[in-house]
Amino acid sequence: MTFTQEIGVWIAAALTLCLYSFLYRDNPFYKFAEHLFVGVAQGYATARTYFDAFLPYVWTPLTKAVGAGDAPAQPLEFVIVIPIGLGLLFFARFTKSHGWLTRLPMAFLIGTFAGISIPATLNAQIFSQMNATITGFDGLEGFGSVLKIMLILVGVFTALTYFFFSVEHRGTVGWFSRVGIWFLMIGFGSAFGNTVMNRVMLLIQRAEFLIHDWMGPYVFGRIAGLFS
Amino acid sequence: MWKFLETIDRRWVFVLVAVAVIVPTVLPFKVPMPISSATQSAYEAIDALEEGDFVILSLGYGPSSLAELQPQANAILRHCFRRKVRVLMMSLWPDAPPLGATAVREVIGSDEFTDAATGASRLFEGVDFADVGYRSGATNVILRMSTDIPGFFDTDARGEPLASLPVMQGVRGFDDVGLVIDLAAGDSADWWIIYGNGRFGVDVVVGVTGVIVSQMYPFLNSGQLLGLIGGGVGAAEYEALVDAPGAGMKRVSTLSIVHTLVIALVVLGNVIYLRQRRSGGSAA
Repeated sequence: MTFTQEIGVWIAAALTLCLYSFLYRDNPFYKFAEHLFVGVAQGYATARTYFDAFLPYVWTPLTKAVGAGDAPAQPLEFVIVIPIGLGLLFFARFTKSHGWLTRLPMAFLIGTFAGISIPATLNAQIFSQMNATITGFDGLEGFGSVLKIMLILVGVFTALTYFFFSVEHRGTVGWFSRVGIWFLMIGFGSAFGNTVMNRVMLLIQRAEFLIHDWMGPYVFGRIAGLFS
Repeated sequence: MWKFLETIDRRWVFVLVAVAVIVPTVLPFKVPMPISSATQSAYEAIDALEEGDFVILSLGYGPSSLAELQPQANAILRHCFRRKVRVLMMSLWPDAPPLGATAVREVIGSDEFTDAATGASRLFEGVDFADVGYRSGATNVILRMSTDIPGFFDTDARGEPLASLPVMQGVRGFDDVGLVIDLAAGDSADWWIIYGNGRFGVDVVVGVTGVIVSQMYPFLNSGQLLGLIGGGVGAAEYEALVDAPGAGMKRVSTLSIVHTLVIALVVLGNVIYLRQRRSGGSAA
């Protein structure tokens, strides 16, 4: 490992310990690491956006339009000034007299995004799911698949009943609603359990780093080296 | 003893969790690895690809999800290269490209893909795989890729014209894509399901973090996803399926210990709560 890589390991280990120090109590080391993380993440995202969004979507088409270097000019590429102009209108918000101009790009964004996403989202998240719930009765094999389909059907029906507020939740409707709550709670429990798994995995990965990548070679390894 | 447990400082719980993590990390052990049907489906979807097929590996995660999704990326890339399918790696998150590059470097530099005589990798960038880096505007990226992938990205991450690379030969839009594999810590799995599969009919497999795996199961059940790899356990299962034990399998044994501790603490906490309620004391 090179010297710069070793410096990187020491910095990463120190910042990891700074962040975990919060488990004891809030302290300046934690605050420092937290603020550093926010700053670095923002700086990195800004730089990446410049290289991966501004350059390919704005700069390159503009240079093609005017014909940079020996390349011939491509006047059709000038069409890029329309979205660039629309985007620049967002900055009109900084002036009181021209602030209304931001409505133009906002209207364009909301209109196009609604047009693109509403039909696609309805299709993927509503109609396909309804279809899967209903057509699931085709070709059932074995008790397990019957149970699975019945659970899905009862779960969908009772959970929807819980969110149906036009009828008072009493009697049969109340009973269905309570069963729906059980399904929802099991769903939330599953999501929580998986979230715990996610957080524990992060902790394990950091522990592996501290033990195997930092303490092993650079702390215990160095100490052992002193006595050998 | 109950009084002691009711008033114990929560930092002792942190110490217990730390011990449960550190001991198996220092003294690793193996746990049985049954394969879930969701991960098996993902494996079969990739295994069904034929030599020369074209796969998009879309990365929608960052360092905060590295523990779960990086082992998935390594195992999936290994499987793809074994199947001799062409891989186009792209990122829908700005901090994903370095992670993708690391995964590729580790896999192509492993013994399995290294020529014993020369010590060099048998896999080449531009021939067996390409990395086009990050593009912002995820929905628009997927929509514009649908008809002209090389035209949209123009160049790969090294600045080489994408259309001229051997890995892109015969590939234009989604009609030429055998499979999209999305590794997601956030919304990117939804984008591929809604637009990639829903609108253009491309087959999608996702590998996701534990946080969002529950909301992906309905899409697997409906057939909108061909496979689903869930969190760190999914990564370990996939490593077992491709017979390449890695970080996922190593971590899942530690995970078992910590989960056992968490379950024990949850049970203990509820027992304390019920005792307090029965005796009419404060449950807080």
